[in-house]
Amino acid sequence: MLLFLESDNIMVNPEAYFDCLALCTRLQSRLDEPPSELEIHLFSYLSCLLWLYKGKPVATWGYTFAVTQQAFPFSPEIHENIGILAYQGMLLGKEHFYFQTTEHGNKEYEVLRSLSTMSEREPYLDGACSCLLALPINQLRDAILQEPSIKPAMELMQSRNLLTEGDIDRLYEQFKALSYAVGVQVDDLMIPAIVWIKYLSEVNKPHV
Amino acid sequence: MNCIMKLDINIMKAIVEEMHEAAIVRLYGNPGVTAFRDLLESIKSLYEFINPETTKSTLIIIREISSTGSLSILGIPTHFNEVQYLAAHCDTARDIGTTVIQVISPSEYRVWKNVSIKPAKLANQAIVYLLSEGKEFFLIESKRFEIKNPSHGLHSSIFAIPTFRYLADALEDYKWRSIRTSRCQIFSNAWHGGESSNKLFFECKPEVLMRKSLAHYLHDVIRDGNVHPETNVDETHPVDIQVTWQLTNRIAIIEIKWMGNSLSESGSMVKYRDARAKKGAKQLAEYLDAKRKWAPGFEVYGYLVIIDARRKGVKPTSEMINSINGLWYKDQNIKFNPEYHKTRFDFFEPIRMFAEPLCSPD
Repeated sequence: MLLFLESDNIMVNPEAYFDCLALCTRLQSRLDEPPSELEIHLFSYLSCLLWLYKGKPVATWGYTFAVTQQAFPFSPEIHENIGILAYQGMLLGKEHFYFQTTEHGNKEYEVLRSLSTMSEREPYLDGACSCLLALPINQLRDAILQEPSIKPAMELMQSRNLLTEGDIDRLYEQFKALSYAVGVQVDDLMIPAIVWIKYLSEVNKPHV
Repeated sequence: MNCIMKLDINIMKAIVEEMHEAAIVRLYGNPGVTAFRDLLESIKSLYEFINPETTKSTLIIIREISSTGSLSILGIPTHFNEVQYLAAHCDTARDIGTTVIQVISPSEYRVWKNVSIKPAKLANQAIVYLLSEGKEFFLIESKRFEIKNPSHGLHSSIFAIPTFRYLADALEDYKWRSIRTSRCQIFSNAWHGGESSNKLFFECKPEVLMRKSLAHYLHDVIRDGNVHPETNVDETHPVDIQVTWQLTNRIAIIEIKWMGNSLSESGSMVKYRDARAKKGAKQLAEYLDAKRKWAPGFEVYGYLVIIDARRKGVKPTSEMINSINGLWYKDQNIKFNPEYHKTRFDFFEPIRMFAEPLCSPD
């Protein structure tokens, strides 16, 4: 779904728009500092993986991800919507790289999260950000770099789209196995997120 | 090229078996996860006021899933609603007994000090966190899970690893945390005689371990940065460490120089003093010029790190040093000429990191 801001003819992706606000709000609390744009990309991607973990189709997530020469994972929609939110005064950019929500942004977030289409995203965004309760952010970032869709592209220094059909089949298979290994389903998505990150860290250690 | 991780269900099961999160889910389901979340939130809050690095006592933080009355054996607790008052009460840097903190909610706590109890006795229908002798554990019923800390040796708790947005702040922390008392295990091996030596001399060519130590540290604490040891600034000249930040055009190059004495196996001593640091400054200025040519469009900044292990009056046969001679150079800064950090916008003020010896009584 895409919307146009009438005044400026700017394209808004509502899901990315909402996620930027939701992630900034959560990450600035978890990190005690405003998150960087890279961190917003990283946690939106982890949220999307949790969406897949729950068996939802990737097409309904609302926006896309890629590995680029500049960043991994990178969502062009997230990048654009950070810019839009900063332009609107919903996010305050520090050094053009770290972003925190303004009072105006907090109010916007409260309004949007009351919509059912947006509120259903909250457990996934929260599950991803809550990993920071248990893991240092750099460990989490290193683990995501080992993710099977990202690692080959990074090693070969290639740009590629993420969550293609092949990636998703493999992820579904891994999430199914992970769910089986844990053995019990719980509501809080923080747990599968932490288990998945720790698994990626462990399995990619030398001599495992 | 085997780039794609192959799924091995047995490896996955083995890894998951070692995770306390999986044990919590299996034993306690959703109520267990809620309790675990409360416990994690509380540990993070507590470590804003209690420093795990200086905690001498055994610290137990417990969140019950359902009350079994097991805590009544500890006696009468003290109640707190504010973490900072709780931290002041506990004084874990001085107390050496066992402190038990029960999390009722992330804003309500009960505390018992100097208790005598086996932590496992508290782990029935509860999640128990334990910090003891620099190691962290979760106790879930009868099983003890050690928490893997990628920064073990430098940061006592995985829940209190600082991160830095600015490289200069990270280097300042590295100076105090890792170098001053040689707490970094990688760096401590650069001493002649290893970490248990009196730290009078470096081994021959200690710069390899110094580079490794700093790169490892920066990797753990710099937000969004990619740390690359030994990267070429042009066709032939490698700089010790390069840090890049994704989505930005910022590059930092770090040159490491050491001062002091190194001792070879044959007993020959190499002595480096101020001239070595000054040479490093000149080198870094040249690297910055070269890098700017090779990476146009990038903002390149230079940092000179000087590991200072100068000792007064040591000979190759010296084995001990008193504090007057050992700390003689502790506050003796280097007068640079030219002062690139004052004349160039891209050259940060050199950071001298004094590595203290173990001094014998005067």
